[in-house]
Amino acid sequence: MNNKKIEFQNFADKQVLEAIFEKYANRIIGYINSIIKDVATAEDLMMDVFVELIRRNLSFDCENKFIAYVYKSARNIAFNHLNKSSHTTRLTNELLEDTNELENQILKNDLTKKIYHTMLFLKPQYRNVLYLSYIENFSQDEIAQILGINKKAVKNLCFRAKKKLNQVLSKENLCFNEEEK
Amino acid sequence: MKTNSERANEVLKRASQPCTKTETAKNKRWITILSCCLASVIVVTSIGLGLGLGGVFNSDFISLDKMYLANFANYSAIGAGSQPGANESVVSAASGDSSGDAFLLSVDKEGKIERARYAKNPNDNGKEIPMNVSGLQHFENYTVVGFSGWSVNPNYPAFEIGPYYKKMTYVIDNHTGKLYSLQSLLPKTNYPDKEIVITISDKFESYDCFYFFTESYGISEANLTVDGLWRAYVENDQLKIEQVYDDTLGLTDGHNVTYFSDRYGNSFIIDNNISYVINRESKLNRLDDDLKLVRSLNGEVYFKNAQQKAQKFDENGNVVDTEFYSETFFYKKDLIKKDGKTNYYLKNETIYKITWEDDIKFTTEPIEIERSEEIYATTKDYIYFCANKIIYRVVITTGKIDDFRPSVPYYFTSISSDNLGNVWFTAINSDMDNVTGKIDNDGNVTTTITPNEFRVYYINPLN
Repeated sequence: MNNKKIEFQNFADKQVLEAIFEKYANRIIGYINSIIKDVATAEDLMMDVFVELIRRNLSFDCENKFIAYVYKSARNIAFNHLNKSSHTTRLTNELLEDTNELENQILKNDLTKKIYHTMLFLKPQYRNVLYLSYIENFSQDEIAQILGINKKAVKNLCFRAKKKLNQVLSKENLCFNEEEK
Repeated sequence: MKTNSERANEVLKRASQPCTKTETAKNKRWITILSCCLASVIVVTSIGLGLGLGGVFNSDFISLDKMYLANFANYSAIGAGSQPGANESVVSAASGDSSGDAFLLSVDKEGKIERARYAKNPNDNGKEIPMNVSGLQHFENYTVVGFSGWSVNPNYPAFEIGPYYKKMTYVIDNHTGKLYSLQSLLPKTNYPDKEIVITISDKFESYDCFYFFTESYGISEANLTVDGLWRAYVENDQLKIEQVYDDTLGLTDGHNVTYFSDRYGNSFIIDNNISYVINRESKLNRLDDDLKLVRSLNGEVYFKNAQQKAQKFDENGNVVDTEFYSETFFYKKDLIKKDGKTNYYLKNETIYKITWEDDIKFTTEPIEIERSEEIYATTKDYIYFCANKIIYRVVITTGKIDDFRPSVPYYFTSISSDNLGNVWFTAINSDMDNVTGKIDNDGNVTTTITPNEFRVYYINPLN
């Protein structure tokens, strides 16, 4: 574990990058995976986010700006991938292990896991906002910044996504409320 | 998964080769473009030579815009269904419960069902196309059909369809069999991940047009807005759409909003307890609060005012008194029999006999079913019910069980009909073997059957 205070600049420094990855890599992979449903590719795309960040020599003066950029970038890369690809993912044992490992790291409890698994059945836009809202616990302002939309639109999207999620959960006699976050 | 150190190494390695990926991507793009060109040439040529549809192919799907349903003059009904696979049981095939590649079906005047074919000219024999039906909505003058390039579970009769940019929703003129692209007329979007949902239902029918509303969602711009309410009709051999309402009221901000139209082309928006009417001239009026508006089976919209007086909306969207008032409404899928001016609908285990006096006035007579079961299938004259060891049938016009008693010692597991008067069943015999069988319109039972060729999901007669 790197205890050095994270600085959101000089990403070409391996130590900086490792420290960032320590804190964010799996979260970003989880986010991308929630959109593309392929954890191996999600890991690859997560790295693309940082490749681009280094190439553009970006730096951020605070964590919030870094998070907004990285998640926005991850989102764009994930949707670009989704739009281009028509492949199907073979669920190998290795991939299953990776998925379980990732889930154990980012999902705190059984209910969160259930929500995560359920939302993977929803459309990518819904998965996207549900992940940011209920797995990452980002505020509506933060989500608006990441998605490049206004807060009202985030509210609407969350409302619709949660409704769909509950429709699926209700088939298993489960219900998801904000309080359960 | 990689360790963070391995990830960091890989990122730094990739980042140190800034041009490679871009060039590769460009090369790939060129290869893709060239491949697409070559593939398009091959495909277009194939289509041109093989299907006779030349020059109508786009990068995603075949365009059916301005094409015809082949031999449409011989159609008596139009519907959707699929063809069971070789290993699929006959009854699961006929039941419509299982999913499959659904396509448009034609029913000719002898009742023969075939897969619809498409042609450039109305009298050509045409060819089938490899696109699946994802939704179908039948109106008196138009049929709206949504296609998908991949297997889907079709949803009838009302449907939602996306994505927007695929331009896969077509309007069929029920009088000519000509197809018109609907989505290509809607405003373009620059956002590849933006999708649009077109919602169409029985309650959007008017005498010379139909309505639908669109909702779009996407991440790249403000989401979940109702784009508006639209009117569609064919005029001078062109499909035309007009935006009736563009959500300038902002009603859809998380509200539970209901839309429908009446037979005269007035549109209604109900936002909780507030209702609005928009007439054909796009004049919007807010109505009194707490009105309970109902679209009746005749297409008129009624309500009772504060004094409990029955009122309706006229051709101009104005409120007028009415002598006739009915809250009765059925969806087309509930129609089980047509007999002159009398229609029979099946809903909640009750048959409803609707007798029309004229275009507007009708009477409703509920007919109790003598005995009903959850599993049933309908034919022209009967509702067949399946109750474990027996199959029995009820006469639609009376609700009474008739004397049909097939002497087949089976344990029945499912039944379904094929819209041609045949009832298909699955059963288990005394040796615990699976049996499939057919009951024809005269009540003859046979278990030596030719597999049902089509699984019919939905069929609606043309006028």
